[in-house]
Amino acid sequence: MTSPEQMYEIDAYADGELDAMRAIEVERLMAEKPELRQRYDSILNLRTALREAAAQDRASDLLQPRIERAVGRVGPSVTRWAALAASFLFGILIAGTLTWVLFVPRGPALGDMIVSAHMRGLLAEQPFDIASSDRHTVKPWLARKVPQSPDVVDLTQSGFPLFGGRVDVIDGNPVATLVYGHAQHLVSLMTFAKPVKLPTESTIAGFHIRSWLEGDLTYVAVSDIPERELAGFENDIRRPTR
Amino acid sequence: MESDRALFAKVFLPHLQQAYRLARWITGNAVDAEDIVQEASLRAFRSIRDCSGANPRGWVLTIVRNTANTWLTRNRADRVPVERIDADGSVIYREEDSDPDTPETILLRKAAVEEVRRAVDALPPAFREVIVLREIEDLDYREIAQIAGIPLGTVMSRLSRARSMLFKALGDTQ
Repeated sequence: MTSPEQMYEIDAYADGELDAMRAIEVERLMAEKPELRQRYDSILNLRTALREAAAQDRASDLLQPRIERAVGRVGPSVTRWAALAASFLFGILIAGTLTWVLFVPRGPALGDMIVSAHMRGLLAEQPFDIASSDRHTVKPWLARKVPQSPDVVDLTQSGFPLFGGRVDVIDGNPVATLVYGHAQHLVSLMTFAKPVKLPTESTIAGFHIRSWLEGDLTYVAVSDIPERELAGFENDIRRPTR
Repeated sequence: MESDRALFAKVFLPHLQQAYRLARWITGNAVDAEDIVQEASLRAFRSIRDCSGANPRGWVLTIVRNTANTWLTRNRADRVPVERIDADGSVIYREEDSDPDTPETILLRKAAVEEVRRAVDALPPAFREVIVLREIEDLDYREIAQIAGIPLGTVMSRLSRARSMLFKALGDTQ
């Protein structure tokens, strides 16, 4: 019977992780116990099989240009964000009062994660995992994926047609997100089961965020459409359930 | 001072194929692997200043690994029954769930490529990533420990166990 420790030694030997003294010890051990020798041979065979299988895996030649484009698109908004932070800093110096400190953004907060998820949607081939303008298709799809599923409201009449839904991961938790269109822009509407620490209105890296409570759920809308239009979106989406 | 984009090109782009392979094998999905690498590239770009420069490959692969795990939470939650993904994206696995295996009479037969893929795909994610990092990405134990965020001893036990599971799935016991 082989102990797990002996097995680890064989594995470490096959992985070139042992010093010379222990390697000699393992070689002696393998000469004594054929099942250990067999494990060693199996490890090498498996290695060959895995590397052969992986040899054909290559990302397409289009991936690098795609990434360079995506990074290029992120660039300006990051710079704008940095400029904004710099102007805050300038403000602190000028004002010289502690109250300003309250407005300084702190670390990668929830708002940043929400904007990142929205941006990820914008950069993907498709901003949604399920494409459907039919709320009776989107709702059950989301309900299967996440514990808290939002009311899916059709807002085509108000100029916000439903495009689909996706699941975002915010702070480690899956979150149901509805995707609406508006002119050439997209609005992501996320649903949180727990109350979230977000101001009712905020702007991060050029994206506006609005959040509100509805029953047990907190809704968060994020988009680069003008603030006023996003406020209109919130209004429209809340009206039918009132 | 180098621009963020120049730094990104130097740190991230040289490891693109390795990043793709890692995403592809962790998720078992050749199509989404490119999206995962792209998403990881944006995460990397946003925090490019955090890369100390000591081990850019390890830094890149850590981000890809975490992004791929997030993808798993979103898309394959049904297939990770005995574990959960931590808030920071690391996989928590209860070691006692894995019964020690005897490696006797294991004879690996020449498995077709697809068979190998399926066998790796069927491993629990915590085991899959260590075998992929070791055999496909050719990293040493210390690097694997860093990327997967687990102690060295756990790397050894998971690797050994992953191999035993693969032998069982692929091996002939005649």
